[in-house]
Amino acid sequence: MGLFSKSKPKVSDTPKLKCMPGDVASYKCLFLASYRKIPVEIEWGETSILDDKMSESLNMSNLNRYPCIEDGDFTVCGEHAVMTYLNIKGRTPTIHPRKARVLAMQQYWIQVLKTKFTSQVNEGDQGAAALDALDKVLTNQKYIVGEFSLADIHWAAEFKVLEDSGKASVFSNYKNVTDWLTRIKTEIPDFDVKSEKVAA
Amino acid sequence: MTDLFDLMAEKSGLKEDAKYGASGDMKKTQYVLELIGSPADPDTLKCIITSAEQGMEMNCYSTVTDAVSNLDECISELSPLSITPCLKEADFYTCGADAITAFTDARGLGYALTPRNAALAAMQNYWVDIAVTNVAPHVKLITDEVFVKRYSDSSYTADMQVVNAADEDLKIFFDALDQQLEGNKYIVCDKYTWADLHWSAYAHLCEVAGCNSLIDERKNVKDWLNRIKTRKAQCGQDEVAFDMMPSAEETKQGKLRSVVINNY
Repeated sequence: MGLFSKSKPKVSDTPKLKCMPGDVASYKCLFLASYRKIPVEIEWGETSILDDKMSESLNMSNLNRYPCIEDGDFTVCGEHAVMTYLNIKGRTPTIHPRKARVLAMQQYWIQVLKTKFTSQVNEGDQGAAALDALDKVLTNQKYIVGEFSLADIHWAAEFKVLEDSGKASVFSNYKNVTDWLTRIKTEIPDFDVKSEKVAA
Repeated sequence: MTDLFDLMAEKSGLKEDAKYGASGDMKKTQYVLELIGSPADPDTLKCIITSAEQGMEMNCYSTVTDAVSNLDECISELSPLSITPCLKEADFYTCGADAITAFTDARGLGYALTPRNAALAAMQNYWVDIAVTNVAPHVKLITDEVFVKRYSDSSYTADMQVVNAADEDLKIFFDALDQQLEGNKYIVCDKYTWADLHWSAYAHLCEVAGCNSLIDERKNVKDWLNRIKTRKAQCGQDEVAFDMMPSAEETKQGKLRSVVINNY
């Protein structure tokens, strides 16, 4: 037998992204994979805490972190970890502003979403202060921090879930925001995906 | 608009230091950063550690001891969505720990803290996520009782039932950390990452608030924190970033230490 003739057992080398319908974090990861053209197999379903093997093995039960990504024998769960993984994997450029000030603005707008919009919309408030500020920065800019960044992916996923759940009225009166979202929808290839596979 | 940083620099006695570099006598290429935050706030501590790790000098103004009379109003002008802590570098302002730490990491002298390997970077942020989402709320309950409520009412006595309940709730996370650190020098590998930076801020606050059994009773966590307390900064200068943390007494008094780099 030749040196290189022994073939390895064939396993799927496409990472598996386990998403939950209606979950904003799942859409953020999916959009990132789609934008960066990372091939992933999407599995939609009610995720079980058993998917979060790492938390379980560390006896941190019921953390309910999702989505999860499985790539070979590597598994990790939670938006922050999965997005980091998807932003480094692959050959396309990572989404990471080179200028420190732009990077800071990206992180600022992600924090605004998490602490001043998502939580307030969930509590019945419409997050108007955050939307006012977002609409204002989008007056003269194509993207939230000037260039396409993770901030656009985070906010786009949030608006996608609001739209899908019939709550688009929360942001539909903000012209710059809606113009921006229309543009983003054309730039993220699988914005409306609900299929098995994206971005091959 | 009056610059809140100028007002607080004056109040803290660092006014002249804030003008550093204005006469062209800079000992390095970057401006000194200025930070407004609180010693009982883990986000403020993360900004200070990042600054020290990356060799960036930072004048720190406390919202407790350096407060001006209309502080809330001034912070609203600076940060309309009331996200704190706040940072100034020359003509640039930003707010929130995520923005400030990312900015400082990118501007600083040391290597970026995120591992290049995708799996390690993901693991790092898994642990950051546990710290920010699951550990932070319990630590906040403790620091509010032990420090924050006393800042506005010096006669306030901490409700130990709240503190003990939060301490109890934190045990599973510190147990998990202890398990993770078995055989590891730092949380995700043998190199210091953001995971260590985040967890060390929470561990420090638990210690200074008197919940040190969370650390002392877990050998791997204790060894790890001791390692953090003595490691030289990421930037390669002869500084220990953790030395910039406010002590228990300073935290009680609401004082922050500035980040000073001595060996350029």
